[in-house]
Amino acid sequence: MVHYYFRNSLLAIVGIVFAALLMTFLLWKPEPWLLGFLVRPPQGRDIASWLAEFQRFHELLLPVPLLVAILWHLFALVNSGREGDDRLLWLIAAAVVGLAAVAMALTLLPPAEAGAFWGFLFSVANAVGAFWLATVLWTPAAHKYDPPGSSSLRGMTKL
Amino acid sequence: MSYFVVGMGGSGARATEALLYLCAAGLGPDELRLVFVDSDRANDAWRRVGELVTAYGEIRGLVQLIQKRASRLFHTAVQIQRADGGALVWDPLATTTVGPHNQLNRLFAGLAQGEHAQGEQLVYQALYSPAQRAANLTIGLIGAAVLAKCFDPGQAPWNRVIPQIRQAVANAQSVWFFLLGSLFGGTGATGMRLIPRMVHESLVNRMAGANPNQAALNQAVAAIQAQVRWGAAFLLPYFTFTRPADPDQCGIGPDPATFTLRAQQAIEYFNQFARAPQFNRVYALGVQTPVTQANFSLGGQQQSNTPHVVELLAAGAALDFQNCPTAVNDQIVNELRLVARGDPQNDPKTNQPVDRFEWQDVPPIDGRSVQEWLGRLADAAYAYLKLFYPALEEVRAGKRVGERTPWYVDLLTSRGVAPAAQGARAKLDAMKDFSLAFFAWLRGLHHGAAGMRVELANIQAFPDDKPAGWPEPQGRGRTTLLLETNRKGLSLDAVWKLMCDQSPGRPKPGLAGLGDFFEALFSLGR
Repeated sequence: MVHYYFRNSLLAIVGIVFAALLMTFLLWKPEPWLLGFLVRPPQGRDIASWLAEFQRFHELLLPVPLLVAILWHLFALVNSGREGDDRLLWLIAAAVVGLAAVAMALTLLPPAEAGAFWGFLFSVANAVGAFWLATVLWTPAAHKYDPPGSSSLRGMTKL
Repeated sequence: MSYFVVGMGGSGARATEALLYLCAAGLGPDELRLVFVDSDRANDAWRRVGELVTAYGEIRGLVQLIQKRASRLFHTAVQIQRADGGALVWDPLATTTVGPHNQLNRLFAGLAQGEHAQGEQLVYQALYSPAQRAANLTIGLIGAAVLAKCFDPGQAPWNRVIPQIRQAVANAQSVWFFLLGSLFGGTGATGMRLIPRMVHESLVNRMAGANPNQAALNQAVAAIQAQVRWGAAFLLPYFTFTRPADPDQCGIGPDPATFTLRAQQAIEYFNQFARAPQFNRVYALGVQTPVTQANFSLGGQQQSNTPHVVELLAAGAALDFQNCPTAVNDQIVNELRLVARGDPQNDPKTNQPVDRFEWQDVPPIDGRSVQEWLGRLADAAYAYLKLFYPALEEVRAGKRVGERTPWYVDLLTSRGVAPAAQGARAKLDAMKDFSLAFFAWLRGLHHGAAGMRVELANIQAFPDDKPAGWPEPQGRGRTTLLLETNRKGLSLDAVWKLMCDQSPGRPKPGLAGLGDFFEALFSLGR
């Protein structure tokens, strides 16, 4: 049993680190490049400083899905799943992440003259996506098929 | 390697039952050939053995499809040497040469023919009382003469057993021939004396050729002696019963008052008069106080004796015998093995001596602890009955979303197994039947010994045949099913998690995927 907990805890940590690294990469290059086309900052402010603030906002936002992912992993590690799968719980956790992202984006995202919606959409997608990435392949065995898409992805990756 | 075990009579049947559980636990040899002898085929113990053999075969058939096994559960390939017509048990009275007979009168009328017929009839009348001659023989054989007359080496199963032994001897391969039966009852007591002798004689005659001279006979005897190990578990009186006061209900049959005397006479016979073959090793097993069977029946389905720890020891003896040498320094080995137990210890609560039968009273088999190995089987069977079989039933009924249950996906559906399909269903039901029978047997062991407190298992964990209602052992300090102290039992939650953690495999042809499922289950307790 020690082996089970060790292996699955390690996988969960790998999942969290993987999601954090991937999101960091997305926020470093591809997303700023895309948002550069989609967002027009307010007058007197250049896009570079807007994007820098967008990235700083994610330093506050991204820990939320990763923290929820840690809680999910802890649950999946302790709970056996004998009473049935807990996809509903995963969906609730994802919804919590999404709602938190909406609230934070509405209050903390830098304003824009045009394309603010895109900044808002990217923030929510980043949060929910980080949670999904941290759990889809790395959820402890008893609940490994609860995250949506995990069956197909695990089938492809043999994880 | 040819390992024959002959189970004779009701006690032999129940010892065979224990033997099958030991083999399922992985304590048996690679291959075991079973021969069953009883004139009371309808005995409830044979029904149980028949069901066990079927379930064992189904499960063994699956796991043997796995090339590299991690577990030894169901390791032994059990072959039944069936009687004519595919019958599980060879009934000496159903011999085809003289036709079916259920009374000595009819049997001897058919057999005693030719120039010595009159003389044989006189001997027969001298040996048996009128009541014995008219007795119903299907409840058990009366006397060696009947069996000796009925034994036919050309008849199944002997027409396969004897050539197999002969072939092995010719190829200089070792053969183990072990007898399981009582020395105090009917069929067993008779067969223990005669079956090895008849088999030995048939072997010598075949090996010596059609017109043997003394040299050829001696050569055949020497070859058999060198390759065949003869052994037996002599079950001494370990149960009794109360005969009804009405003699019509008793008929001519075993009388518990004579059990001890009969056993003494049998031992005396083996000691002084027994001819070849000489047993290389015999195990004498009995108890201080025989248990009284609750229900009296002369035979048939109504005779359903409770399992007894002596039968477990006899089954262990049948497997321990595999280490018996034929000769040491060219001297034939003849051993008598006895199992002894410690003196009763005082109960700390009552300060009275209590005679406990515990795992330390069960000798290891080939250096392996019976408690530990049966414990693994118990863990797997318990988890199957409490967790997996009910879940599969729900999947089959469409009541449960099985698509997100990891063990179901990885070990069954991804390997091409559909639990609702006819073939898979039969195997899954076989495991359920086997597991239920195993726990019933374990419970029976605790109820079957008078004067002894049997403490082998936590029987409160499986009090009846309804696993849904079995209480689940809780807490960190829970005991394991067979009271092992040297390893922690897995909780059902832990078993479920570990089964979910099995690697998904590739689709396999036929039911091989289901074999993986069982193997995963059996390997958890290693």
